Amino acid sequence: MSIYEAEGAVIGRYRLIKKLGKGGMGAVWLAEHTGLHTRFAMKMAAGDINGLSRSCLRTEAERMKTLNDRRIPYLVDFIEDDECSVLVMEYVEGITLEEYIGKNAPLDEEEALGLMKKLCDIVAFLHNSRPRILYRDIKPSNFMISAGGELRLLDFGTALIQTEGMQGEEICGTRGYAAPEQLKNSGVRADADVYSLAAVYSYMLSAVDPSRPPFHPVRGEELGRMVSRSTKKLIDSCLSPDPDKRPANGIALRGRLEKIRPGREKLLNCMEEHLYQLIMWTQVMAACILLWARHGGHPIPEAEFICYSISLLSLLWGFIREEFFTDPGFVLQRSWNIILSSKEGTGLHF
Amino acid sequence: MVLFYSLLYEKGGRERNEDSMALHRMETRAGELTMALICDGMGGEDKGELASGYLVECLSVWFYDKLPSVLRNGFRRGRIQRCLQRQLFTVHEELRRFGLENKLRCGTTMTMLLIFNRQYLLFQSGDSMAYSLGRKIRALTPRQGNDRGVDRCIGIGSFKAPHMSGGRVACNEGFLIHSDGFGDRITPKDMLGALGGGRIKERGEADKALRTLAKAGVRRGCRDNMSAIYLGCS
Repeated sequence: MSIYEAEGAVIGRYRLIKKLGKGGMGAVWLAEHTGLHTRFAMKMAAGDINGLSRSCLRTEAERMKTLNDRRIPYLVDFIEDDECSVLVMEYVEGITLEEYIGKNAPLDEEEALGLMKKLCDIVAFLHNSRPRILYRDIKPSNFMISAGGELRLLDFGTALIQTEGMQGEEICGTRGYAAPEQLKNSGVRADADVYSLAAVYSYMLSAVDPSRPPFHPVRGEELGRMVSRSTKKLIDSCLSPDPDKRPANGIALRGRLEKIRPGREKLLNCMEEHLYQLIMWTQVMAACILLWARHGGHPIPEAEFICYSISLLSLLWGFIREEFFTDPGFVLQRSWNIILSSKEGTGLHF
Repeated sequence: MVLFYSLLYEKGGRERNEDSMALHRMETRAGELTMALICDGMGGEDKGELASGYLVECLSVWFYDKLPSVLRNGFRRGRIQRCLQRQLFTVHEELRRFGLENKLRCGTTMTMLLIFNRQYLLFQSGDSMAYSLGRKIRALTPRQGNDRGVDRCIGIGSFKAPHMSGGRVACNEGFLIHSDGFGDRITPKDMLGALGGGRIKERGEADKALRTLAKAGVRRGCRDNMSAIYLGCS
């Protein structure tokens, strides 16, 4: 088998058509079966046969072999020789979730919730499989929206079978989407995938990409009043640095998402914002007018005075507490976030 | 308030652009904050883009993570300056250590413009420049280069605090910050002609003006990287 990474080159029974992209392990090509004329995606890794990229590709093929779900591209073939390893899989035509969010974010809460439920279903399938699979690199560019509108999860290069004492595995994941313990390599569990899912949810609702500085997702308090409280609360709990405070896995997160009713809560938010203020100031005005009309400058009876004072003071206390003693978050919105640099990756390294 | 921006990022006659730049904006409870930043990866030094890219990355994180807590108590120049200096010193030491470990000279200059409501603050280390453009053009930064090269540089030599200046943003004022390559063959008079006089009202016009200036620079023999940010204010 001779490998030519060029258009028209033939590898096994597959002809390379065009390069689709380049990942951490190698290039991804669109290829056509020479006999059947069916299109497939081919992932290639070159170098030493026991090198990291080739062994990762081998592991990826092993994982894909065991996964049988329409939301995950199926494995077609795995070709290996002295020069390189090639993984042939189903070709999913469409756009990545990253492109979709980039174009449409911030998404409406209903739409974001719908997408999140679909993402969660795929991750829940992985977490539910025996043995449990941890994906470890959930980010929008690894999800594809097919031409039929179906979400598919690609790239199983970092996926790992959960075993006891997993500490010491290589650090993987994308800064901003990966959970803090994942980047510190201090043991990864299914809740690390939950953190990444919440980071994607936060990106959909805020349009702030966590993979750009300051490399952390927007938290609930920054999401504004158009997002329901239960969503904010869920995002905050999923993004907690303490893994024990997050939903345990994709299945638990799916259950929490099911309980969110964005439309109803939006109405309540709106009422809280405007109606509360309106009622409060109407009451104050009404009390003043009533007092003036009833007593017109004469002394007010003591009992009545106490009643009015208590009700007015309680309203005033609510206002003071809301304005001065709650911390609603200083930053309301981030925008632009443009960085232009020839430097590759993040951090200080070659 | 900053209404629009325009960016120019050209590698010029070089193999790659060693400059790095960033533009960020956030809306806070106290007002709108914008940061424009250009770092020039010190032509002639090894791995210039590494140093400039790293500084831009760190200052972008600083902008979102540290600056809001400083601004909670108002736009106080001294506090912002101290907070920035701490961050710059950390990056300076990291770059210096990285250079020593890898036998490299990793350095970068920096010009940062912060606009908060109608006030601005400018920090400069090195020879990148900043101008205010209205009916006239006004240099906001002093020329720092000398015969021996740039006298303030992050990552090389001993740390020197950046030069700081500040003021109020006038109506329809524009700000231009650029790397030394952009200003090499283009005079302030050219910049005023293309961007001044309050004639730039939208991003498209600013883009066109910056491209025209860059082309003029190339025609006049500029071979360096050219990077510039123009901010149009209301």
